[in-house]
Amino acid sequence: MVTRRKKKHSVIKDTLADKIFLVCVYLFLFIALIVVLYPLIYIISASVSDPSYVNSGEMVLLPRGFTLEGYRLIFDNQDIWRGYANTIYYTALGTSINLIVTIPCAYALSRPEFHGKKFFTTFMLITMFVSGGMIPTYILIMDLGMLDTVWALVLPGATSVFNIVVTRTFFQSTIPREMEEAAIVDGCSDFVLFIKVILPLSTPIIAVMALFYGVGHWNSWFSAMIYLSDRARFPLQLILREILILQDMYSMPDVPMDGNMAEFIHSKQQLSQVIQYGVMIVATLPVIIVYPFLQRYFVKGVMIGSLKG
Amino acid sequence: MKGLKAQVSTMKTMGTMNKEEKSRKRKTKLKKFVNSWQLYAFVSLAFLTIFIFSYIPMYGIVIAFKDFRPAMGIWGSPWVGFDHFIRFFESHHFWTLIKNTLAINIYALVVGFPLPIILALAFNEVKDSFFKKFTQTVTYAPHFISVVVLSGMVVSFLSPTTGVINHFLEFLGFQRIAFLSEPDWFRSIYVLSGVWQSTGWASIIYLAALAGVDPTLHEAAIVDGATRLQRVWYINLPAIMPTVMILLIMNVGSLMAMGFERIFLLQNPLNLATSNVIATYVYEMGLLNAQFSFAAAIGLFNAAINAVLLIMVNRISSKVSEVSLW
Amino acid sequence: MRTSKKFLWGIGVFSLSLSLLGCNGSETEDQDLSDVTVHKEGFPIVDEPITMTMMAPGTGMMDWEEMPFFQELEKMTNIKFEFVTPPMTDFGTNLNLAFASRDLQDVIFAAGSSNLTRAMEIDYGSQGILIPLEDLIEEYAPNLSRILEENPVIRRNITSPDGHIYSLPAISEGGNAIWASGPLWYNGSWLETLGVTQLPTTTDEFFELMVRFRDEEPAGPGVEVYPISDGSKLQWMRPWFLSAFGMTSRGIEEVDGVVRYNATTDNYRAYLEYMHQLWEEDILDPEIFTQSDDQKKAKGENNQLGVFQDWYSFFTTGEDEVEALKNPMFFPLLSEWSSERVITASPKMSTGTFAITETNPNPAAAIRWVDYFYSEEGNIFGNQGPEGYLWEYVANDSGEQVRVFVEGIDLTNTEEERGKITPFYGITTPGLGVDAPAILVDRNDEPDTRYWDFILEQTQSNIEPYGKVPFPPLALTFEESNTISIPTADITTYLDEMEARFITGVEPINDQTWNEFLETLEQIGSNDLVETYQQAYDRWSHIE
Repeated sequence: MVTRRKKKHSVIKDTLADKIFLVCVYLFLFIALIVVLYPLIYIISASVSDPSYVNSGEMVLLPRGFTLEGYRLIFDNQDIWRGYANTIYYTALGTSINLIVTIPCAYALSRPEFHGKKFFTTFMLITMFVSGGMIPTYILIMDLGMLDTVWALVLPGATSVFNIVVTRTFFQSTIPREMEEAAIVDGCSDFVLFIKVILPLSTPIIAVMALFYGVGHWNSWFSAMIYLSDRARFPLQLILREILILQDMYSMPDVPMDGNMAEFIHSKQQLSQVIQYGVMIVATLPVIIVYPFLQRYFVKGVMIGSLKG
Repeated sequence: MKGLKAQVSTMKTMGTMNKEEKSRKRKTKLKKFVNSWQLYAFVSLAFLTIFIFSYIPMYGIVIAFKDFRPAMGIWGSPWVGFDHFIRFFESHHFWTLIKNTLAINIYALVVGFPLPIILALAFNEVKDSFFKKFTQTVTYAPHFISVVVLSGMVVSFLSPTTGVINHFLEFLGFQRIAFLSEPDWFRSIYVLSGVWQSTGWASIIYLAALAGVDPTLHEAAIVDGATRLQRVWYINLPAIMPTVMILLIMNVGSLMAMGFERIFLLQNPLNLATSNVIATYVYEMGLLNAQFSFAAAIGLFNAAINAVLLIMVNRISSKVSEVSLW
Repeated sequence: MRTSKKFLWGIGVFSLSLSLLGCNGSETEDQDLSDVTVHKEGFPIVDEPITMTMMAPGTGMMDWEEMPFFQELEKMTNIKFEFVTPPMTDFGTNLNLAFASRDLQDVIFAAGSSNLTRAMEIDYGSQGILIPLEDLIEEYAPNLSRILEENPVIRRNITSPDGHIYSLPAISEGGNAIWASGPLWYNGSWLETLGVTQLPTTTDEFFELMVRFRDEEPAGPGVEVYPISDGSKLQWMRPWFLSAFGMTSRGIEEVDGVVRYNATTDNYRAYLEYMHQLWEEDILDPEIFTQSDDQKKAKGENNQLGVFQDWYSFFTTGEDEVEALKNPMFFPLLSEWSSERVITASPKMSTGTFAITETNPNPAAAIRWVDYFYSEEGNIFGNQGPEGYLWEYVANDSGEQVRVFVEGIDLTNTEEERGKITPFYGITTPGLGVDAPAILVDRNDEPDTRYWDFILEQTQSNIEPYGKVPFPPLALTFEESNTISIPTADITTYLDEMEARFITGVEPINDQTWNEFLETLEQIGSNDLVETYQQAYDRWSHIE
């Protein structure tokens, strides 16, 4: 459905004002690039540097004391791979459910003549402010028998009110009303209209929602922490949290210190020094790689292209 | 399908009104309901999940008004009314906490809200190229950096003795600044590191909205002699304005909420005057007993303020721009 | 229309599966164990194998059912455990949820007093969710009973205000059990360079030495030095300086039966003035309040620190044990404010390490199981695991049985290896903590105890004679906990902020500001704290 269109070179040339404008835009983007790039390079370098250079501030841009020890430790760890597999599964399953629940709902809400609109919107928005909290939700999940299953991770969050609202706004502002009305007049049912006309036009927002929900699943650990008890089911982020325990332990003044505890904290500190940067890169890389594939849906004009098709 | 094709070329048309009115008047309300059952079906899944997972547990809200003793369960725990709220209001730090939380969040909104929009508009002006793809990917990568690593980097970069930023300042001829020791700097540090982390990611939604702008409008504008800047201002910006307004409303509606981890990691005894916020205070409280009720009360307090803010901004928005949540 | 039918089917299936999930609750059958005989001594503990469930903080090293420690114990005792091990950092949340939803395991193991707080013990104990243990201890825990006999203070500490014991303690008797925190260390190479042979014993002498550290380039020419630095934002270093002014804590302290709040005393003001002077004289690291522990350690490794805090000096300096022998331990200082030398000491025990819940089918067996760790043999078993995994017995050339590392153990990382074998790693486990025998690399090695001997000797001379526990680790009643919770949180925040301001000079220390400070403390509730703790203390001193 998505046709890659070659940009037609407009016959009218850019004026001087346009040229200056473009230069400013490029400059702005370039500065943004540098500002963001430096810390990212820092992280990559730190992941292959000797931690003492990193902590003393001597490592500034390029790696110092080059070592692959961090990556070796990460790749040797079986739990990390198990976590990876789990996360991929949860993300795929969760995001699919999210899209099936969110997109049709947002579309229905965007139709001005839909009677249930006001009721349902209020129904949704209330949940943004009023929430029972962790305990009743936990009890509910327990009563539903979903403890220690994947459903506890993908079902409670199946609907994000924020995402529904954003998607609805997209539909409201980019789907031409006349088109819908014409279709209805022509006798099109809502289902057919949705699948044959609306969906192809909404590739940008579907891509965005897939990204938002997907990343949400990818980064999540809290639900897994409270609902899963079998370690074999832990997602990647939870495993990483097990490994990089440092900040929490050191800041808890109540932890009774004794020789064993001190040795433990010390060795964990040493460990996290070496792997914390590498761990982040390993955990993040897949998502960064996925983005360019989704990005082509944000190319402007794609909507019109599909329309004419 | 003739009707469809006829509508494609322009966004706004006049003259379909009459047709519309007639066909609507023909149907009765009940028939309309029945005929739009499909739309109800679309909404049903979301309705179901929200009802089950958000509404059923909602009874837990009473925890804020009780002295929750897990042993007695939620219903069996003694009722204390507004005691927890009053305890919170009477805390020595109450006003400081509110002031700090709001100040930081408003600052973050003012700085961090326009930037993603500007970034998306800028990307949109640039033709597809490796540079564009690369820059886009790079700018949203910080979103994935864990809080711990980010805070570690911030502390490291800002060190008065070994930090990069101070080296840079010295290089430019300025004096070194002990950023983390001064309460006045804290807000900027927190907000700017947050902006750094989230701007690229937040611009994605605007990019998607921009993808839906009709290129024929631009073509027509070029013919009319509009400059790029004018086109951005008069076509792109209005096209994404609904998205912008909705996001603004939602952001204002979460003004009292604040993630605990990042502040906690950047906090230290010297900047407590501005870094002491509600979230970290609740954490301190929780260290002694499992203060469920107290935390619940504060959460409710925050939510109430957020709700009021949201409704206010929503009302303003609907008057000014016809965009609103409801 | 086809699509709409598919859609409806989809919803139907979805809701059906949702309801099927509800039929999922398979409970472990509660064995009827009322007539299982529990042997009061020796192994096995029961004749027929029984199973219990355990909730404990996971250390992320190994699935607990795979740990040789549990497997061997099961064979020895006939008690098998099934585990629920949430990650240790979030264990507190999970424990609370378990209590709140009454989804409990039979035993709560190694939770520690920060997760299973005294307040929680009292609350759940009074409701019967945690069962009282004192009778069980008397009948089925000979090792623990003996320890309690010899140390009545411990019994008082673990007893709740209602007279029951709801959780078992971890008791330390090792060589450095008295340490409340890692001590302060002097940089030995600097002392040598400056020709210092005697450590300072008073605050004045200490100040002079610090000035010398600052001025005389002890780390070599051109090296930037920090005579005193810290990575815990003063939290762990503070007690060592407070002690010079006669205080063993910043807050509550009991002296001769009277409870006071130290921050309201003039001693504390003297401490602040001294520290402020250290700051003004560039002796305190300017980043002492802001830097992370990693940054401090980096300075330590670069030999830039004169006095620093850590468990062992080589943790900060990155040296090996032998090199670290030259770093002497801090000797408690005297000043005109302290009548005798004193230093904060640990009560050598902590609570919350073992509790039994209402679901447990055989509490007697559980108590006998855990009692093993209160014997020396049992504790060493816990510490090093059963024979054949981390270590094994081998006869050396003199015919003695020594412990040697098993083949295949990664010698550069014995702690990690240990963590895969036994859960006594990084969590506060019940039992009597003793110094475990050394495990050798080669059977004829002489265990290199030089550093350990050094620690023992320094502890004997610097800490043992002067150690004082600021306040006994007793249990407050539920009402008392509620009374103090807000003032404690408020005061801690206020003190953290004000101490930093006073020391760095942002806030000057004079009579006016000091009075304002005292007034605010009172306003926040320091008096309530003193009253409450005094009441608790009086009650505690009368427990049998």
